[in-house]
Amino acid sequence: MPETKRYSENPFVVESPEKLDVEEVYDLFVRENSGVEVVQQRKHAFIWGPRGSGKSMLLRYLEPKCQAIRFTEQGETWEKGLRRFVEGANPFLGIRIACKEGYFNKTELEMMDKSSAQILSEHMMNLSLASATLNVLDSQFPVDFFTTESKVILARKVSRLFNSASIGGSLNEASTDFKIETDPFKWTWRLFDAELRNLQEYLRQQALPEGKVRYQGATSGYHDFLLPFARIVQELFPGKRVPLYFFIDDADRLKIYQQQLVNSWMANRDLNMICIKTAAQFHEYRTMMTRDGSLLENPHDYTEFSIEALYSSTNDSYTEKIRAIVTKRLHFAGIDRTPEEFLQPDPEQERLLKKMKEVTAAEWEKVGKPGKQNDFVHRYAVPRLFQELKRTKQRRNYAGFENIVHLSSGVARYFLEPCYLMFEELLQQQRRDELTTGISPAVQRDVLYKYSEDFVLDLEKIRKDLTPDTFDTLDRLSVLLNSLGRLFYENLTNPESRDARLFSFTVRGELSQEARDVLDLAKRYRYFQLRTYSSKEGGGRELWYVLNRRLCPVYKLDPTGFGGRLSIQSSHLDLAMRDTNKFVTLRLKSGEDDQPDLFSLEALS
Amino acid sequence: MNICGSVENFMVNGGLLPIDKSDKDDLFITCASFEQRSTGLADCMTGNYRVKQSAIYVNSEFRNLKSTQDNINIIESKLQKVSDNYLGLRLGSWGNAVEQFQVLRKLVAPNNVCSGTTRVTVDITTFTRESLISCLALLRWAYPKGTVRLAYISPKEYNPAGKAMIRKLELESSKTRDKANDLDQHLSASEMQRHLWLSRGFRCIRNAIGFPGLQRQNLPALLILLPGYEIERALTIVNAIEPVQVMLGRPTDATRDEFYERSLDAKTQMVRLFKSRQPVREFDFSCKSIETTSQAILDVATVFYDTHNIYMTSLSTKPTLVAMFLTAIKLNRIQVTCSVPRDYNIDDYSTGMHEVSFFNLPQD
Repeated sequence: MPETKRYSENPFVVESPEKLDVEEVYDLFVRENSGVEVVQQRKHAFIWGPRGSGKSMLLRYLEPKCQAIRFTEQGETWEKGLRRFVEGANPFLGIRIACKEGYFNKTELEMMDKSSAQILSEHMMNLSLASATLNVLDSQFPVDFFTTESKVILARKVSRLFNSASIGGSLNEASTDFKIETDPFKWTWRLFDAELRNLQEYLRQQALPEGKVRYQGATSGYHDFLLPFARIVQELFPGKRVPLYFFIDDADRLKIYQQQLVNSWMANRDLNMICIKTAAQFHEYRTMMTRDGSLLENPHDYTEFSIEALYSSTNDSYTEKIRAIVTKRLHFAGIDRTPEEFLQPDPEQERLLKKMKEVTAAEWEKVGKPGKQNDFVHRYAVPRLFQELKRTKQRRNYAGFENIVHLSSGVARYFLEPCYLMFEELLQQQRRDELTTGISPAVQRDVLYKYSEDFVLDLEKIRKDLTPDTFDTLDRLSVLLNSLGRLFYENLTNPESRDARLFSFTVRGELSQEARDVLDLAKRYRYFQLRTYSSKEGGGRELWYVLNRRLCPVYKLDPTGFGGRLSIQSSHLDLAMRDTNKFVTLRLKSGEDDQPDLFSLEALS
Repeated sequence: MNICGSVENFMVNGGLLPIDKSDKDDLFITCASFEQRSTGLADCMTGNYRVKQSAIYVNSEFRNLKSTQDNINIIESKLQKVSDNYLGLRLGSWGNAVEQFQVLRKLVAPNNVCSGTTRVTVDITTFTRESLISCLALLRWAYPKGTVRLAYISPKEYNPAGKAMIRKLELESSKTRDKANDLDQHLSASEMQRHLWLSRGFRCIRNAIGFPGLQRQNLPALLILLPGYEIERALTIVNAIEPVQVMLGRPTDATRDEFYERSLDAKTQMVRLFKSRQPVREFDFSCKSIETTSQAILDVATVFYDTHNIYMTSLSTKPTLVAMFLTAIKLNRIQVTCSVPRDYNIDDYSTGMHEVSFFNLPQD
């Protein structure tokens, strides 16, 4: 059980995984559908996901002490669990380093030529990985897990990976602070720490050289340091092959040549010793090339897992995952409610939906019983609800656990954030009773609408980050969102519509440069998510753009729709970026005239 | 920090004098920008100020603005009169940290380290924050035995046109609403921000050259932030760094009451916005006194120095940036972080000149 105070203050609080201790990570982590099975394979891997989607939690969960807790049986201490894990079928030593802002992408590196910057970057990253390894060995293993003799051997061997003359100062510093015979791990950690400080000091001085200053310290690469280092660490586990899994977290923050460096490591196949697991935001990881210009290829060089893609899978894995997360958090907060009980939908609209289901079931009979009745009801009941709401001039209330799951579009943080705000709202309104029973649909509705509206208003914030020559692109995106929002709404609320719950589109024909720029911008700021599907012609995958469901409350759309997508001609996409009225009118007209040239519907592949 | 009162009084009392009143300064450096106050110290060269060499630093992005050119003309004509050797303009770019640093290096330390007792006066008023940090690092390195005097002139007003617009909107709104029912209605925060801004948007976050800090993988990140008026810029920094805790400065003074109230208001908004992401703890700092703020930051940083990877950034006045610099040279594992905005409010940044103050940069 984690430190529960902050969850009782607000069960939906979003904490940085770095801040959590190992036990808390273990308790909060939801293993189901997390990608853990993919990532713990003995392969290099990329873990893709936007910020807040759970990448760091996943990597922290794979650290040794979490695995130890996982393998602990009833009544045992975690130390026993650790032995069971290490002696099991697939042991590994998970070491995470964060590439947070300013950790590796130092401004001083820009003052050097690319080759020097790359050499120093690799050394800096090697030192960070090595010191993180020593820290994990020291803090996440029981003191007596390794013999003192084996630890001392490791310390001596590791120090010999460098030329002793070039690390003389660091050796002295390590020996001043720790005794190698009694604290070998700490001694070795200190050695790396001192080397890292030397490197930072060089970067500092590099800015202010009297004459040309050359770096005279040690450097390290993959084959002359990282690989032998891993081999030495493995010797701590005699008779076992325990590979080191190096988790490079937030790798999108690295400079391109640093990303090439990571890719170069991943191009090596020493998987029994080193597996590199790189976590990043897909669109911000800017190269798949290695340092020598080769392309890193899937599945040849690596495997990958996209956390976001969970949401698009046809089973309910993302919903299950969020349900498990919320269940845990409510439990930590001492709230005895299920997620569905705590976040209930609007009862009035639920009644209306139930009625619409009955209406569509009867409709199925009238129209000659096409397909299965359940499928028909599933397909038309929600659109009928939206049509009824339009007729009676009511807004859809998106309250309810399942609706909020859909609105979060595959990112756990986008579920937790509005729920956090709802809880805060109750606190502010001093509605203390509801804090333990559930958040009223009215509070949910208001927060969810505001949260959606904020996302649209963010377009103006984005403008501030763009250069004036790209303002047009942003304006086109704004119009495109409106065009699609209105078109989807018209489609949803049209009783004649055959496939009313459309939420995504594909483009036929060559995209104009302007459209490319707009779609790129939309992907970057997550207004659209990009997926692929197999083309009808076969032999390839086509791009498929899905609107972020966080936009639903503003555009009055149904976030639960997955079936089908619009196929839009590229020339009409250009129109949609310029003139919402013309685009929507043209579309509706073509619908009436049954002219499928503007867009046609495609079934989900 | 020696605050000499209003610019007018300072001029009446003789204006700017050399560091050693009996001898010329060796070097005078200033930055010309679109702000009126960038001419302040040149305006104060009314009496006996003399210098051997002088130069003006200009951001190339602002170089072609009429207001910048007007200010350059004023400063140039004064420097030509008081200097034995006026070196002219040096163009750098706030968009390019390396270029900016190299230009400043040639300007501040053309002969690398100078072992003599050189006397340098620098008007820090309108340097960008990043260029000022570079400038201070170079000055301290190049003149270890010299005297480096920093001068700063506060403005009379920030966002004068924006404030006038808000007054107008409030007046219009008060005319149209029912006063009996709606007395407390004010303009929305976003409406206020639309008119009252100094910089906006985001290009990048980077460490100030020479202050990369030391980041240990086993330690969490902590941000020491001295807030100014720029709420969005502060939020962007917090989002990028993702610290486990923010130590947020609480201003205790300002050169004018109005500035103080605005900065307190901005700080309050920041606390509200930051709190949903990570804990925020506050500490007092002075917007005017370098010594007070330097000690305040030092006290905070010392507590976390061995347990956190510390980032430090100031969005407050230039004196607070000097204070931050002084802390960073004492605790060199701290990273000094700069955020580069998309735009500065060139048309409505500040107006006038209020107080002038001086500070001697301590050397080893």
